[in-house]
Amino acid sequence: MKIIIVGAGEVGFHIASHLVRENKEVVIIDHDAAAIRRVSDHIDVQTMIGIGSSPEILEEAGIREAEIMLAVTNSDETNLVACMVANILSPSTKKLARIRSGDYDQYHELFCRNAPNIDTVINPEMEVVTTIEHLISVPNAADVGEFAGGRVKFIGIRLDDATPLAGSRLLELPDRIQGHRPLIFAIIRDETLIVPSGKDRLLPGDLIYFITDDEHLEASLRQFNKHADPVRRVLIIGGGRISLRLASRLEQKSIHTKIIEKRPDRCSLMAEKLHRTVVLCGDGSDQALLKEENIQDADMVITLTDDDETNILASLLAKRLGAWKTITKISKFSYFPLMHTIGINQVVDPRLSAINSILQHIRRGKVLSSVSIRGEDAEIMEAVALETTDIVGKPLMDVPFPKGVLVTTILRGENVIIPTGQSVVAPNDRIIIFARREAIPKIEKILAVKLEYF
Amino acid sequence: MKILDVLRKEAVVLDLKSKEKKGVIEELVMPLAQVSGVAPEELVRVLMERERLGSTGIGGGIGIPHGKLKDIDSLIVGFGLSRQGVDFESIDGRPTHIFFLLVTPENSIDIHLKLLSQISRILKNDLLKERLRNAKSQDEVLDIIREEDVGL
Repeated sequence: MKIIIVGAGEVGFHIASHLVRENKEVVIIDHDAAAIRRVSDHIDVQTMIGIGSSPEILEEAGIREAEIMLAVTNSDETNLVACMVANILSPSTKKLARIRSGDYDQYHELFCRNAPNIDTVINPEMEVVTTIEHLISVPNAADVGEFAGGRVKFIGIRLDDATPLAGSRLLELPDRIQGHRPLIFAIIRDETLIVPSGKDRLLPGDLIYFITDDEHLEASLRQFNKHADPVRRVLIIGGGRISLRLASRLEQKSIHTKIIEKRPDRCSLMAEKLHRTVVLCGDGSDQALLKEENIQDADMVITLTDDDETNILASLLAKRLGAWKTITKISKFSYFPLMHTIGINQVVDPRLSAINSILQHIRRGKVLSSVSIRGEDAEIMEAVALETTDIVGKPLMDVPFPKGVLVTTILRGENVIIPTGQSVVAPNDRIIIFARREAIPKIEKILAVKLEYF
Repeated sequence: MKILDVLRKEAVVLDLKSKEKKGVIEELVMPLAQVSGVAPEELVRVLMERERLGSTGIGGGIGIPHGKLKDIDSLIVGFGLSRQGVDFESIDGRPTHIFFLLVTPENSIDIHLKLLSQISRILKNDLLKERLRNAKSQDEVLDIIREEDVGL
């Protein structure tokens, strides 16, 4: 599969490195020679220096042969023009564009239905807001995601010493848990991902991932000594576009929200656009201001400035001053492994969100959504089990899954089934699969239809 | 039904240039779009959509891209040869040289499956496959297929 990536920033770079590992043919275009050098120093892809919206450059990159074009520069307009040009030169190339500005929000669908006929508009800022909303809904979790329109959730939680289940082997859990038992599909211990078997133990300090239907979420959390206390007061530090989006969502949920932003002009704009949110002009890393605003009463402090370091420090400060939970926006992937060590548990990243939504469109088979966890070590994906694929019609234990793969859920109509080895997936069931990165090409094969599929 | 009842001489492309799946499908579709009156991008779209669910590169150097379209009255069938081979993501991972292309009306699953099996049966014959790969003219391709095209 040939894929052209316009824009060699953080998103373009990471998508490219992801795709190369899966043996896709990638051409990456950027006008910035330094960005291109970074790509060619690290990954084995074809690179081109030039404006990605230029017809000549796109021709030269082979747009006519490309199955997919990703327009992911940091300029919405360049991305739109690149799609427009691609649409003229090669209408059947799939076009995915990152568009961030709120001004375009209401028009995404128009851009899909009319020229430039974008197949998917990706707005990482909207997705980050959704992620934050998920995290707010389960404030004790380190990671929360949804599948099947919210009917199934996956939750990552950190086990503490008080967890009653600490020390148990997974195979002992049926005896120790009464009633509904969540399916644990991954354990992260000392930054290493373990796909557990019955013999593995749960230890304090582990970050465990489990999957559950919405109905049993609270019961599942209780098993691990966590509770889903509702968040009522939120303090946001930084008044950028994500804050504005988030604050208006929180207003709808009647969550009491304050925003602290440095720039006075930005403050007045936010105050104008928001209704019940309190906008304060000031420095979010100023202790005195935070105290004055009763930070210790905030259920959650969310740091969303454009600067990673400011966000990290502000979150740490907020915690120290008594805030119950924090969510920190970080864009540098290299910071992720440090976060737990320095005491930051909940992290969001618009770029990772963008990468997640792009990957789903590149997968073979009918993949509906996919989420990377732990950077990119593993993926959880929701897919439709189509007729003629290897996954349907036989017990799961007979499906030739590679190592590091778990079918966590079968969705059949309204039913949510936690499968065993004997379960049989029927055509058109939806399935939620967890897979280590290395196993993904094989999973794609298992989800691929055979020749006779019509 | 025989393959030659539906495969027209103009639909035989002797020398596919592209080395990529999408490029090859575009080349194969060009003559078909003219004959059938269906917009080429529409044909490419359905064929590529089908490929996304699983490659029709069945190995042994053969690809049978196929799909269905709502608003057509009759079958659209094409044939193509690539001398250098195409990366068609085939199940054996090897380049693909011989292409049969098939687009059928949405409600004719029966004919569709019959044609697919007819095509795959013909291509099981290694000698014939070799001769097809080396065919020099559109007529020669049709002649070779005719030998095995016993119909169903």
